[in-house]
Amino acid sequence: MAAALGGLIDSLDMLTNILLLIVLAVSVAMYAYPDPSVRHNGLVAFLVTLLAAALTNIKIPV
Amino acid sequence: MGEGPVDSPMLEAREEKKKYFTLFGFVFALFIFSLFMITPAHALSPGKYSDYVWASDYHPPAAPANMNLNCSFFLPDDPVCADINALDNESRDAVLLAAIGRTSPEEYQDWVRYWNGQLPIKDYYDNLSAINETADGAYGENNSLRDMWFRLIDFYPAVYDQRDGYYYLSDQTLVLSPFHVNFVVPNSMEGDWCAQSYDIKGYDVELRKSIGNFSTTGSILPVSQLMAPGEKANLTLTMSATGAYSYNLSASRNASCGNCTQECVFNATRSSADTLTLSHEYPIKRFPDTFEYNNTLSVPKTGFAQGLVSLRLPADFLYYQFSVKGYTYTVSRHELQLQSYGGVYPLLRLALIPSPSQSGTLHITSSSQNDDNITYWADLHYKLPVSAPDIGETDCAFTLVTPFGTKTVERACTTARAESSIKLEVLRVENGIGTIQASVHDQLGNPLEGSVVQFTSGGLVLNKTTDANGIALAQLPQGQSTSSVEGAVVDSENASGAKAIIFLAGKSGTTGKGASFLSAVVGAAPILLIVLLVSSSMMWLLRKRSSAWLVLLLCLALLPAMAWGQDAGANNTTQITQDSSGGVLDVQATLDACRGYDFSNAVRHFGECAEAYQLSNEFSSMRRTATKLIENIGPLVVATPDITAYKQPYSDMVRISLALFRVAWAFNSLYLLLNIFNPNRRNEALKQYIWLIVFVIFAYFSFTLISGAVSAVNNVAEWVAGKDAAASLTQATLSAEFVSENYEMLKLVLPFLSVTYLVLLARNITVIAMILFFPFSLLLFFTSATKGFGRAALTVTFAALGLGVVNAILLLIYNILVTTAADPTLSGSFAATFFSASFIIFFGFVNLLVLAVAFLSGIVFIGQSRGAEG
Repeated sequence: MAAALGGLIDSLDMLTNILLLIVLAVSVAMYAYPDPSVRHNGLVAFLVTLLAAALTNIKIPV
Repeated sequence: MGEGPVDSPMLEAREEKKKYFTLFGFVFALFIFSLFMITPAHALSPGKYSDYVWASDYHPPAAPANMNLNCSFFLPDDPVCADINALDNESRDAVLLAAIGRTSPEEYQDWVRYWNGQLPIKDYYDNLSAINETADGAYGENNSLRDMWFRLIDFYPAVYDQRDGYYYLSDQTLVLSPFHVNFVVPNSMEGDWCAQSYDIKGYDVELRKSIGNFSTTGSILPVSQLMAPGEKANLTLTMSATGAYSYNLSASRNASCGNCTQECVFNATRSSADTLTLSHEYPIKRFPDTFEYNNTLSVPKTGFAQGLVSLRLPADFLYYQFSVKGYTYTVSRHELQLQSYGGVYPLLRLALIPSPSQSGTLHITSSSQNDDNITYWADLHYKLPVSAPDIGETDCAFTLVTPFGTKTVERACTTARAESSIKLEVLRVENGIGTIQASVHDQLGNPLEGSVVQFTSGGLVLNKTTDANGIALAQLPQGQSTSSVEGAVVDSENASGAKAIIFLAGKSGTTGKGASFLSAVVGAAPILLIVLLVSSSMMWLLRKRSSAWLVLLLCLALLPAMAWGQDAGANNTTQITQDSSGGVLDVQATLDACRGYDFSNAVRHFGECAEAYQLSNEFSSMRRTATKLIENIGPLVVATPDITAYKQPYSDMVRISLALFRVAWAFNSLYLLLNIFNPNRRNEALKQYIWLIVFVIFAYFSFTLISGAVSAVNNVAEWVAGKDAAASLTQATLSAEFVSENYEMLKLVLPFLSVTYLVLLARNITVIAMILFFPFSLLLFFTSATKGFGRAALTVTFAALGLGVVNAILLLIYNILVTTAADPTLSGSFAATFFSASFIIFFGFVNLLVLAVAFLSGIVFIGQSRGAEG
């Protein structure tokens, strides 16, 4: 049971990280957009997403 | 004026004198030179050092005639020697060894040393290996070092243990170890030499004794500083010698002078340096010097005195003897025997021979003896065979004889007036009759024969007398309910120690299978109630109002069922109490005693008192006794329940919740990010995105704070009160036996403190939730871009608050059940279920619920956002 739960949690974390990677990739792609406001928003989104992903990947003792 | 010619006679005289002087000098030189020349090849000049032997003069020491043991040495002027000397060799030595036995170990040791020390062991090496005996030394030769040997002929004091071949040594031991070496120098060197001269440098020799890293050339071994009692080791004797000499050799050669034909000149130097090392090992072990002795007597006013001798001695003692009032008892393990060994020189040694025996005039009632080859333990219970109440310390003595000496203790006992103590046990219960056994002993554990034991149960009183084993048996009828039986030693001077109470089970059963099933069902009802309450809350949140009301009605329906179950259990108990013939009166004496107990008696009799309180429904009294316990062992009483079983499920649920939360956040992030490409929603989407990130980080780490606070409270509670009741009470120096016997009752007492702790914990977490979530939620709610998030956060906050209130209500119900319920056994397990449920709910499901609500709120937000777009 513990192993199954651990596997489920690891899968969910993997899914989260994949989604965040997609978010980062999209925000990077925004920087290539011709519209300056899109580029600006994409840069901001990239930075805050990177920060949040790093912080929330820290293991919390439970 | 011219001088005449020189006076020639004076000149001639001078010339003559010169000639004579020259001739004289030449002859003198020749004389000196000739001293070397004419030294013959075999005429040697003496060496510089003495104590050497020329090879031509050297003869190896011849074996002297065999010596015999000398009777007159040991028994001077004793006519028995004449008879002994008339025997043949073999018989003579055996008889003589038996005849020269001494009275004490010290005398034995001294005479062995006297004999061995006067033997003329100087030159000849008595090789014991050649006569199939164990070698006691070593022999060797090397060129100039001839006839080199050493022997170890005596330890003083020591005794030889035949069982393992080791020598027992005392704390300080003298080693007798003669050694010998001859320094033999060859007379001449081979070869055609016209002259040889010697430089005999001499020789060095030493004999060194070593044990481990210790080494000495002296004769005393400080055994007590080198070895532990009973420890075995090897004593190594090492003899080292060096001898050196050199030759100056001259050879003939043709002389340089014309008239000389040969001259003898120095040609070479030949040196010789010889070394030799011999060694041998001797197995030794240190005799332990353990000595502990205790002899305690309990003396009644009349009757036989009984005593206990407790001993801790070296395992290989010879014998010991203790005496009380002239009656003695002797335990023997070994005896000393003189043995002769050796070839030419008859050496003596003391050997340890097993010789076990026990005898005496003192009546030993029981004996326990043991040893581990180093230490001997014994507990000997004895009884004086006549009435002897007036015994004092001076009436006792103790003597211990070891191979190294004798130790005597005068005034060798302590006496005390006998005090009886009683212990009751239910041997069997059959056909409505219970057999109660009373064991009566004094303070030393000796059974007291002839003591009258009064058994009292209700109105029934029986007097029985103890037998030789201190046992008295009584048969009492079983009552309808459990009844107490008191046993007291009549005329005991020690009232509190000579009384005991035991409970005899009644004829009716306590709980049958039906009652067990009932309590299981009733016990499970609270969990079902709580699950339904939570489900109802979730449905309300999801706006399924009708479904939520339905679930709430189900909860209300469960309440009467639980109340009925509790009443049935209580009625059962009441019935048992009322049907017992004077059940309350049966425990009255116990209750009276228990109410008056001080702390030590409250602890000792807590089990009996608690059962009496239970039968009489006197929970206020039980609480008073429990309070007395708690006051005395206060901070050490456990204040936290054992949450070990909940830790893993809690951890798993939290981890899943966090993982789901992050997934929801990631999906939301992607959705918002894609909205940035929409020029109408670009800026608002970014704002919402940033607020989302901030909310996630804040919620994530606020959870860390909450779990950290919970851990801190848990750690403080553990630090104060320990992890479980048994460990905490053991820390309070109560015996484990008491804890195990009374644990079931103690578990009912201890939660009186745990409720306070849990309410405090619930309040802590609720406050943290208020501080972290509520203001932030309001901020998000009032910001238009994040109104949806605000609503979600507020939902989370109020859900947490609501569950904290639910948890507190559950704990209060638990408290009421424990303090006021009629049957504590039944309601104890019922109440414990509430407690367990509250704990699971709060620390497990609350986290899952809070985070699931956040997840759902996120979905609501997305739905709202899409609605706004539409």
